[in-house]
Parts: sequence; structure tokens; C-alpha cells
Amino acid sequence: MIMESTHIDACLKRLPDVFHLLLDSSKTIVDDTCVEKLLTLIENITQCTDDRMKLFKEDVGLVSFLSHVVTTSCEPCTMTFALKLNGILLKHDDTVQLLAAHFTGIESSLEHRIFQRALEGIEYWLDASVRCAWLNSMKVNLNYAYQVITQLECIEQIIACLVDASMFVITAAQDFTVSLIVWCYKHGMLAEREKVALVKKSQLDNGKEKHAIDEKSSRCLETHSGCRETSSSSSFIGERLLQYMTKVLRSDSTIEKPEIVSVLQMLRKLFETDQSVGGSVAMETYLLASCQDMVINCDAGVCANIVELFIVIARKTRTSDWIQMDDIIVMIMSLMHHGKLSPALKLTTTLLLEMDQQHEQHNRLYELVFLPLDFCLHPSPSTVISSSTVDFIMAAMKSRGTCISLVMHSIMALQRQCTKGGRLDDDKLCRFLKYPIILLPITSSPDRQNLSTQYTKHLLGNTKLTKFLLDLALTLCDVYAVSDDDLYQLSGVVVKMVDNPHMDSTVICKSLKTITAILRQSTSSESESGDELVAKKPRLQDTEACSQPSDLILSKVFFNILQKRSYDTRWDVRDSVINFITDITQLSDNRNVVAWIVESKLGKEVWEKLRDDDDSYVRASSLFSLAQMSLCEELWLQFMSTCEQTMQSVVQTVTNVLLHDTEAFPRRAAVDVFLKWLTKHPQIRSYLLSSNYSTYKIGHKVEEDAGESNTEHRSVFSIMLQASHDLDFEVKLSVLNFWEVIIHHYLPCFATKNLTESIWDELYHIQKTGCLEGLQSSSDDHDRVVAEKACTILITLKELIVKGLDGKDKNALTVKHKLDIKFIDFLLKTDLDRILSEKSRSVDIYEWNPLALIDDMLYSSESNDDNLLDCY
Amino acid sequence: MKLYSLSAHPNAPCLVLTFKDCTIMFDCAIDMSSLMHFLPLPLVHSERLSKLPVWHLSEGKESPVGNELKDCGGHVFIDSSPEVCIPETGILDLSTVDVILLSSYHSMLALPFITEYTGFHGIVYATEPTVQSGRQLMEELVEYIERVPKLQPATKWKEPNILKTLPSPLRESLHVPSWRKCYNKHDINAAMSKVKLAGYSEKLNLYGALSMVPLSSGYCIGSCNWVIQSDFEKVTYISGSSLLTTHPLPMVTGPMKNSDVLILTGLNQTPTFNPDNMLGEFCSNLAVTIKNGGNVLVPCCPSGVIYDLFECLSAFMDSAGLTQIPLYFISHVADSSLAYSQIFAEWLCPAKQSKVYLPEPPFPHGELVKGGRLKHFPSIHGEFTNQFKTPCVVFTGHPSLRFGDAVHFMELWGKSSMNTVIFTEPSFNYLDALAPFQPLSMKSCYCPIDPTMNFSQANKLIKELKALHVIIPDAYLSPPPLLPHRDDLIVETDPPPTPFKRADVLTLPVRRRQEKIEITSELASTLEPTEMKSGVFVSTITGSTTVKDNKYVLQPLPKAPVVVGKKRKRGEEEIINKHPKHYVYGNLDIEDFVRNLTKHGVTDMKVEDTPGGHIVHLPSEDTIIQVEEGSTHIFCEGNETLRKKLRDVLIMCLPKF
Repeated sequence: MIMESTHIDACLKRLPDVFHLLLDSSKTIVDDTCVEKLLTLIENITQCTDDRMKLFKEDVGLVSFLSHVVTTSCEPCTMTFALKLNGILLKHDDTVQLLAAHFTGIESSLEHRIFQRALEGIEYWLDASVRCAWLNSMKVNLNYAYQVITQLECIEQIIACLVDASMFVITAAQDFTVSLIVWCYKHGMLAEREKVALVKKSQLDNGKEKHAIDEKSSRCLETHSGCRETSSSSSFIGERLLQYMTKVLRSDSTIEKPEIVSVLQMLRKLFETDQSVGGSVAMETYLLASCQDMVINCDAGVCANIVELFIVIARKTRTSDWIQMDDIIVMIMSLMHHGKLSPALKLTTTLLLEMDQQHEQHNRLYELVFLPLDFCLHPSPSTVISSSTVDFIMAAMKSRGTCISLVMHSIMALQRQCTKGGRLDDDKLCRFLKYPIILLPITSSPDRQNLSTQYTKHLLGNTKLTKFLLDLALTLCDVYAVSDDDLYQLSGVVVKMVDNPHMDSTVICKSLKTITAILRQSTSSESESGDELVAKKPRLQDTEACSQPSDLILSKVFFNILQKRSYDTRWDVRDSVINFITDITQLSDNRNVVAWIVESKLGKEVWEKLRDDDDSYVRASSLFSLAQMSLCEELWLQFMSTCEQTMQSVVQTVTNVLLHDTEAFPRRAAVDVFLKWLTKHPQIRSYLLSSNYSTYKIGHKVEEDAGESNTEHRSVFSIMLQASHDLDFEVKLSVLNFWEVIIHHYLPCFATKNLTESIWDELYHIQKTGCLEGLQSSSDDHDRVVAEKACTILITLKELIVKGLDGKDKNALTVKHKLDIKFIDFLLKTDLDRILSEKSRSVDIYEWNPLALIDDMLYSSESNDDNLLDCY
Repeated sequence: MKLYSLSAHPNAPCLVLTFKDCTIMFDCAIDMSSLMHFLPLPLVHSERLSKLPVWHLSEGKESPVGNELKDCGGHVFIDSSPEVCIPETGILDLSTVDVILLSSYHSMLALPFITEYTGFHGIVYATEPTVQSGRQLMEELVEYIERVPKLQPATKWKEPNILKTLPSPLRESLHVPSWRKCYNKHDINAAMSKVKLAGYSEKLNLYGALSMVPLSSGYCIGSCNWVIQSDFEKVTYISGSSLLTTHPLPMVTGPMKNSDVLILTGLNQTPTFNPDNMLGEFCSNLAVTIKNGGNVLVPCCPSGVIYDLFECLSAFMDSAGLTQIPLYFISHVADSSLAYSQIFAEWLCPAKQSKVYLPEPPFPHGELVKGGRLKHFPSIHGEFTNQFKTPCVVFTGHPSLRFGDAVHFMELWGKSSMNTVIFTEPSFNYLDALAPFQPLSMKSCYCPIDPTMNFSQANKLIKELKALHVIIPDAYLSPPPLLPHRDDLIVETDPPPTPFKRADVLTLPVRRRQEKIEITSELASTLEPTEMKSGVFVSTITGSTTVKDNKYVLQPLPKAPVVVGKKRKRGEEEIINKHPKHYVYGNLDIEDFVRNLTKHGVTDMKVEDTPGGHIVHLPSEDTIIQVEEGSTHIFCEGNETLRKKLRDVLIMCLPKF
């Protein structure tokens, strides 16, 4: 953010008082947020070189503040501020030099001494915020940091921060050390060593696992360790970090778990930052071998971190020169055979996405990921996986918790394969579909009659698995062309779930979405030939006669189920039903769907929910459904006939919602309905625009408390004017969208900016609607986003009017075309750009008026009122 | 301690416990499953029912039972006044029952059968709401049956040689000999006159031997479980309890812990149907029917869940825009049921109790009646015909659909598919209830709302109560017949529970080893305790025990009166010298006893080991000496000399001081 120079100068004048306040332990600083905002202010000042230099003027007091911090004792929060300030100044070489200019030699430069003071002062270093600020500030300038660490010989303290009590310090330490390692490599501080990788090779021989250790590699390991001890001091820091990581990774039981976890997280961040450096470090630290050793006895937390690390590694395996796909497969097998099945599956899922499908192990890994699901379908599935692995997984799945976890991972892997794994062939698609078809009846009900294998008893009535399976089914139906037979089976399962009164409401919602996807697919291939469709029977038929999924869904039985759910006591179920109706109404190009909606009179359900439901979300959804329905002529006519409504009465009802509904959601939806009609429904648009009361009296004050009987005599424009004063900002925004559509309708050049002669007549039409007055009042709305939008529209209008006026007599024009001169004057004279910029500026007052921040800080330091001290 | 099970249905219990010479009956419910075999009693003549064909065993042959059995849609029904299955009366003389303890108004419908026809002359205890609501249920039952009398009772079909030829399920009907016609109003009044009221946690005394405490069970207004206690033993009886938060007071379990015996009945009859979900299903089905212009019939009992249905339904109908749809409650006792529910505030949950202080009626149906949304009538005749309009919702009895106004509405609305009958009572199989009305166009919906404990809650409760012995109906040891694969729907305890079924007599493994006895202060002052070991003192005591109202008191021996004359003095010495010379103790060594008997000339004897001790048989003397732990009995046929000799030898063999 670029600050005005007057502001900067004013702030710089007050900074000494602030620094004085920070140093005075008897005075209170209002809170941390103000201090952070002060730092932001200083950082903004340093954006510009000239302003940066101003900071170092003596009367600003920055240097004396930092000197004071170094030489005298202060509060830890002040030291934290000083460290962060240091960090800001270290970003720029000129400020670094300015700081150094005050003292000679790097060792005694001011910022160096601040780091030293913070590090060596017990009263400071014990405070977690000081440690955090120290690390974060060092990270800003790694060149400088390297020198400081070398001088202060504080690498051990940095390493200690990796297992700090504070989570923030650990994160800061990890980020810093990762940056430092990358820097060391990039600046040659850590030359590339001879690539030594201690790899455990796992060979599966007749179902047994053999581990072969490369003896040559182990000798190199010993040599390599010796090399490290004699490394030069210039690379000491990098070497020390590598040595530390190696020690932790190769640890025995003496190393605590938090330390291992921290190092693994560090490595993961390193790989995320720079893969090649990560690869070098991995080789140096014998990462692969160490992790393979660790998985034998590690607990779930360490194992999870190992897997997260290898997931990041796996993403770049193809381009990596230090690790191959086979190495990761070995890791997977190692995890599996040491009982870490879920982490193994998680890693396999990622690897499959990265692996070339032609890879020799691809098929085997593929089978491995879906093996838990296959066990749920067949007691003895045929598979290419070795029998020992199969036995292992079978034994693990006997435990309920493990079984559910493995199945969950398999489903998630399946989901990722569908969305990111490339095109599925028909066999795979058919297989994938079998899982939800067979498992959904089991997971959605405690009824043991549906059990397919011994393992599925663990999945009985598991709502979480049900949701995952439904997501999978929805993805498959959305993305792929599924066979009718599979769609039919799936629809049978899902319809049954919707019918179950004990079903979770989220499951019902997902089921209805799945049914929509099935229907969309099932009906998309049907012929559009009118003759054929006219000859077809009506769709409301018994399910026994059905053989197509759309027949099962577009049936009387399903309608009864849907109707029952529309009266469910849970609002989210009712809302899902209405959304389902909206979604299938969008398939109105399919005759069967339209016929079913017509025969079922679903429009009546929507109408009743709109009028009677006590939940605002349901009423809002009903409005959207109504709008969607109106776009299909046949549905619209049937709806009006069934509900005994006319177009006028429907518009009236929506108007009533807009004016009288107690909740904001339905009111927003009502405006959106009008918008939709305006843009997409020619007949209703004509009605709205040619209303008998479309003449809007200039200066007419809208009666805000008009009763229902009065709304019959009001045009939609006056309704919208009233709605523009709604308490909900989104309603007001929607009204502005409405006005924008009106303007586009009457003023084509609004979008094209190509002025025409008829602009004044067009403006007159717009004026008649009351749009201009509405925009004018909204430009001063207390809701910022509303005012911004109104100003934007008015600025465009202004540009057009100014262009159009070009040299002409304004008064004559307005009289001739019966325009409101006051509005024209308002447009021409008001600095809308300034208003827009004011409205657009940050809600944070301190961002555009930093002086207020300094004033507040200084004022509150004098005040003893507790309320003032906690106002942020 | 013995337990007699007089009922076959776990949710219609009738159990008798004998304990400390007292005979206690827990509940006396009617098993109404027998009603399913009878034809409905229509209030208005039904052409269809009257023209049902007579059932024949085979074509062309005359039915051995005449017109007693009718064929309706392949099902055989008895054309007679409905009969109910009463508790078993043959295994115990019910006139010996000292007290009947009632748990709820659902489990007391057989009370007139017990009190008026078995010679019962004890007391009946129940809470006040149980009494009032129970009376209402009984009166309604009698009213329903009596107003449609049948000319001829059906009896021939019950004969065993005919019964076995009848088709299923009539042939397999259980306990047909226990089926009875309903009692009359006089029986009801007489039975209710024997009832005494009890409050929750009130300690009732049974002849001084036992205390009986009713504790809230949370099932319905006034429902309770019973804890029977002596000084050293405790028996808990749990019947029909609920852990759900509904309108009655919540269940109290504290005093039930650590019982010697826990008897558990009345678990959930529809464990796979969640009551909350069923309530939602009930509302949505009702709304769909009404919106489509149809009527809804809800066959139900006149009290209990119906109050919750009114409360939930009125709110739901308001939100669904069905405020103008009338609710009709038709029952002979509708008025009193609604009225009593509002005045039993102290038996309701705290939320409803606090309403009373506002003051507001605890249930909203009062406002519904006032506002005209809920209308109640004693029958379909009279005022109802003037006010009846459709579409509407009708709550009426009987849930079995064999009598009551529900039969009329089934006949009236059964032909239209726009109407729906919604079953909420779990006690009747809805398909069996609908059988005589087939073919039926009317839609039917099964939404059982059973708030009683399910199996997992019961298992958890049993674990918490930590009773030594658990007694349950044998039906709870295996999954329900319609859900054989649901092996989670059983009661599992460690150690395994003891099952019972109808007509079982269980000897409960509770041995009374101690009894409380009071000692007078006068006698206590004569005691001279001697320390045997640290903290253990022993003293001999001789006194006279009196038992009054089952209370034992040990008093000093009575003093002899002052007399004049030697003869009397001798007699007095005998009285004064009642104090024994020795005190015997310990167990008898049978071998030593036999040896001593031989020494004293008794040689012809056989010694037999028994589970409890020994039996010494003297065949020549026709004498048996039964030696058990804690008792020795000598059975000899009037040979006093031999008896004394045997006694003396016995005492000789026992340690004494």
C-alpha cells in the first residue's frame, strides 16, 4: 500500500513518542494488534526508498530505540517488537547498511546486537514470542542470518527450537532451517557429496520378504560420517543441520517422538520448497533407509508424518534422480507388513496418480488399493496381490476399526482415481460402480440381511461410509457414461435410502443429488423425436414394469417417497427435495421428465412450501425452483393450472415475500427470481415492464409500511425501490443487479459505450422506472459493497452522459426529453470517483489513517480505564 | 423365594413372588394378541362382515363349529365377542396373594379377573394416575365390547379335538383355555375399590415383613418400578421403563442397585424403529395424506403417547400450513383422559411441571381444545355427526381394530386410496389388525412409537444395577422372530440371566441367612461379652423370642409368679429352671454319631449321603434322622423313648459349653 507523503511525515513525527512508550515499562500498551499494525505501518513506509531513509533521521528515534533495547532491560514484548522491526529493516540492503553504519564491524552492528541480546538474555529467550520473532526475522535475510549464526555460534539453540514447547516456535524454526538449508546448497555451502544411498531392497520371494543391505553402501556411510567431522567452518551450519537430521532419523529409542516428527515435517517442507535440495538432503541423511527402519516400531504419529513426507516425494518421483518408483513401492510394502495398512494405502493412492499406467507395478498397486473393498464384495476375491499380503489384510480387517479405516481409504482412493487418475475403461467403471451398489444397502442400514461377506458386518449402519459412497456414485455418474443396467441398480439402492425414515438428512440430500445425476445421464441419450415421444405411455407406472433407471425414478412410487420427504420434520430434508425438483426441472428438454413433473404436480409442492414452510431456507429454495420452473412453458402452464394461479398472482406472491418475509434468504431469492424473469422469461418481463403502474412519479416517496392490500397497486419498480432500503445488504445488492439489468435493457450503449442519438429517450425510460433515484440513494448506502456497486454503475452512466452532452445545452436537453435535472446535476457535480475510492478503501481505519493508530496508542497508554484497554 | 410366571407375553406381565411368607403379585395384564383371531365388531351394521362365508374344514362337509368361524380373504376369524387371554390361574391359588403391585395402567387390565374371580382378598397398590388411567382403559374396553353384543358366544372351536383341525394361525393359538370374555363395569368398580394409592418413593409396609417402594419408570404418567426389601434382601421389579425424555417423570434407578434379584420385563417391542424418526414419519405421512385430500385414522389408546402426538402434530401442522385441519379424538373416556392429564402435574417431567407455576397447562392440547382445533367426543353418534368435516385426522380406539370406533372408520374410509390409517401402537401387528378389512384400498402406514427401553439400554442398565441374579422372559434370550439375524437384539448379562415363560415356577437362588431381631434393653444389660480375638466379642444369651407383625423381639425369660405350697413350688422350679445347662454348637460329626448310637444299642441303621447332609435310616424302628447344615430332624412314629434317646445321643456328639 502506498501511503501519502503527508501521512508519512505526520507519522514519523509521532514515532518517537511511540518508541518512548514501548520502552517505558510503567506505561501499558493497549494490545498486540496495535503493535502489529504499527509494524505494518513501518513496513509500508519502507516500501519507498526515500521514506525508508527518513526512518533513520535522528528525530524519528528509531535508531535510539533499537540502541536502547540493546543496552537496557525491557519487556519481552518490546524485544519482540524490536526483533520484528529488525526483520523489516533487513529486507533492504540500504537499511542494513544504515544500521551497520552506526557501529563498525558486523559483530557490533545494531541489528546483530539485537539478535544477540535476545538470544543471550534469559529473560527474553524464555518468552516464546521472542523466539518466534527471532527466527522469523532471521529468515528475511539469509545471507545476514548465516553470518549472525556463525558469529553467535547459536545453531544449537536454533536446533533446540525444533522441539520447542510452543507450536509457533517449532513452525518458525522449521521454516527457518529449511530456508537456511536451501540457501546453503544454493550458495555452495553444502557441496554435493558422492551420492550414497543406503537402500533397503525388499524382495518378495515366494511370499516371503527379504531385506538386502548394500554392504558397499554401509562402508561409505562410515567414511561419509568421518568426512563431516573435518568439514570447514564455512559449511559448519549446513553440516550441523544435516548431522542433526541424520542423527534423529537414524535414532534408537533415545530420541523422543516430537523430535522425530519435527525433523520429518522439516524434510517435508524442504521437499515442498525445493525438490532437488530435498533430494540431496535425503541422500545425505539416508532418508529412505532410515524411514524403512522407523516404520518397524514407530507409532501412528510418526508413521503419519513419514507417509506425508513420502506423498510429497512421490509427486516428483518421475523427475527425481535420487529415488525411483520402486523405492516408494518398497516403502509401501514395508508399511503394510508392519501393520500400517491405512498409511500404506494412503501412500499408494498418491503413487498411483503419479505412476505411469504402463509401469509393471501399476496393476499390482491398483489391486492393493481396492483390495479392502473387494473383500467386502467377495470372501475370496481373485487378485494379483501375493497371498501373504492378502492374508495380512484379511487378518487386519477382522478388527472393526481397521476394517472401516481401510475401506474408507479405498473409497477415497477410488474418488481420486475418478477425478484425477485419467479416463477409466469400461471394466474399471463397471467394477467401481459395483462398490456403491452393493455396499450402500449395508452401510445405510443396520439390517444384517444385506451382508455380503464377513467383513461387511463392521460396516453396518456407518453413516460416514454411506456419504463417501454416495459422493463416489455421484462422481461416477457425473463424469462417466454409465450403462443403463448399472444406473438402474444404483437408482434402486438410492431410492430405497430416500424412503428410509431413519436415514441421516445429509445422506438423503446426497441421495437426491445422485438421483439427479442418474436421471441426467439416463435421459440424455433418449431421442428427442417428437413423434416417438408422443406415442410413449405416461411415465407414472408401477416399478415392477420398469427396466430403465429413469422409469424407476420417474414413477409414482418415487413420487410418493418424494412427497413424504417434502413433509419431513427436518428442514434440510425438505430443502433437499425442493433442490431436487429445481435440478430436474433443468432437464426440461427431456419430454419424459417434463411429463413426470406435470403428472406428479410437483409444482404444487413447490408452491405450498413457498407459502407455508416455516424455514427460510426452504422458502428461498422454493423461489429458485419456481423461477426455474417458469422457464419451461409446459411446466409453467401446468403449475398455474394446478395451483389455480395466474402470472399476476404469482408475481404478487413473490413480491409479498420480498416485502414481508421476516428472513433475508427468501427476500434475496425473491429479487433473484425477478432478475431471472427479467432476463430469461419474455412474457413475465413484458408484464413487469409494461405494468399499468409503471409510471413512476418523480419525487414520490415510497410508503415503507404499505400493507399487503396496497402492494397490488404498486409496480415492481416501486417494490424494488422499497427493497433497496432492506436491512440485508445482499438484498440491496440484488436490487442493484436488477437496476443494472433494467439499464441494459433500455440503454444498449451502457455495455458497448457506443453512444447513440436516442440516449436521452432511453434515459427517460430508465428514469420512469425510478432506477436513477434508487442508484442515487444507494451510492450513499452505509453498506460499503452496496455503495461501491451503485457508484460503479453511476460512474459509467456519468461517462455516457458527459459524452452525450458534449457541448450541448444541458437544460434544453433535459426539458426536451423530460429528464430530471437534479439527477443530471448530481451526476455531473458529484465526485463519484472519490466516493468510490473512499468506499473501496479498507475497513481497517488504520490502513488509510495510520495517524489515528498512533494517537490511539498514545492516548490509551495514559488511560486506566479497563474498557479502553480491551477495545480491539 | 419362588417366582411364578402367569403370563406368556413379556409386555403383558403377571408374576407372583413368594418371599418371607408373603405372596406378592407384580402386575396383572391382559394379553390382547388373542383379539387378532376375532372378527371386528362394527358399531354400524356392516354388510360385508355379515356376508362373510362360513369356514369349512373341507368342501361339502358341514363345519363342526357351525357359524362360529368365518373366512375372510383366506384368513379364519372367530365370529364372537372378542376374548382376551388372562393370566394363568392353575399353578397357584390366587386367594393366597397378599398384595398386587401395579406398574402402569397398561398392565392392570386383568385386575377384575384376579380380584373378583379368584377369591383374592389382599390389597392392591398403584399410583393415582395409574388408577385413573387404568380405570379409563377398562371402562373403554367394556364399553366397546358391550355396545356391540353378539347373540351367540363361540365355544365349540375351543374343543381340543376341533382346535387341532383348524387352520393356522388359529390352530397354534396359545393358551386358549385362558381366553375369557371381558368383565363388566360392576367388576371394574369392585376391583378398583380394593386399590390403595401410593406415591413415588413412598415406603409401603407388607405385614411388617417387607417394604415396597414404587419408583418412577419414565414410561407413562404414574408408571413405576417396584423395589421389595427385607432387612437383608432386595428384589427389584422393572416393567415398562423408558430412558427417553418425554412427558412423564424420568426413570429413577438409584435405589435399585445391588439387588439380590432383578426381574426385568416390558422391553421395547419395536427395537428397530427409533421413536423420534417414527414421529417424523408419522407427521410426514399425515401431511401427504391431508394435502392429497384424504383423511387419516390413528387407532390408539386414549392416554399415553397420544398426548405427545397432539403436541408434536399441532406444531408440525402449523408449519406445514395445515392449521385448519381438524383433529378429532373419539373415545368414551376422551374428556376425562384430556382433563386428568392436565391435573397430574406432579407426575410429569420438570419442564412440564414448571409450566404449572406460570400458570399454564402442562400439555398444549388444552389450548387446542379451547381453540377448536382438537375436538373430543364420546362416540361417533350425537354431536360428532354435526361437527364432522373432512379432510380430518381421527384419533380413536381400539388399536387392535377389533372393536371401538376405529372399526367404523375403517369401514367408512377403507375403500378410498386417498385415506391413510397410521398405526402407532407397538403392541399389535398392523398386518394382522388389517386382515379382516382386506381387500383394502386405504393406505396403511406403520410408525410404531414405543418409548420403552431397547435391548442395548437394558444391557447397560443391568450392568449398572449390578444385581446378583437377573430374571427375564425367555423371549429376550433370542432375537425377535421377525428379525432372526439381529443378534444384537437380546439381553446379555454376565452371569447369564435366568429365563421364564408362562406357567414356570422358578426357585430363586436367594437363601435367607439372617433376620433382624431386636433385643430388649433389660436383656441387653445382662450380657457379658468375652473377647475371643481382637474386635470379636461373644456372649451367651437366653431369652424368649416373640414374633409380632413379623418383627422378632428377644426378651428376658418370664419370672415365675409367687406361690404358696410345695407342689406349686416344684412346678415353679421347672419353670424357673428353663435355663439350659449346656449350649451346644457346631456341626455334627456323622461317624461319631453313628458310633455313639451303636454304643447305645442302636445297631440297625443305614447312612445315606444327600446333597445337603446325611440321612440316617433306622429301618427296624421306622425312624429317619435327617442331618443338614443348620438343622437336624428326627422323624419317628410316636416312639417317644427312642426319640429322647436319639436326642440325648445327638447332644452328646455335639460340642457344648
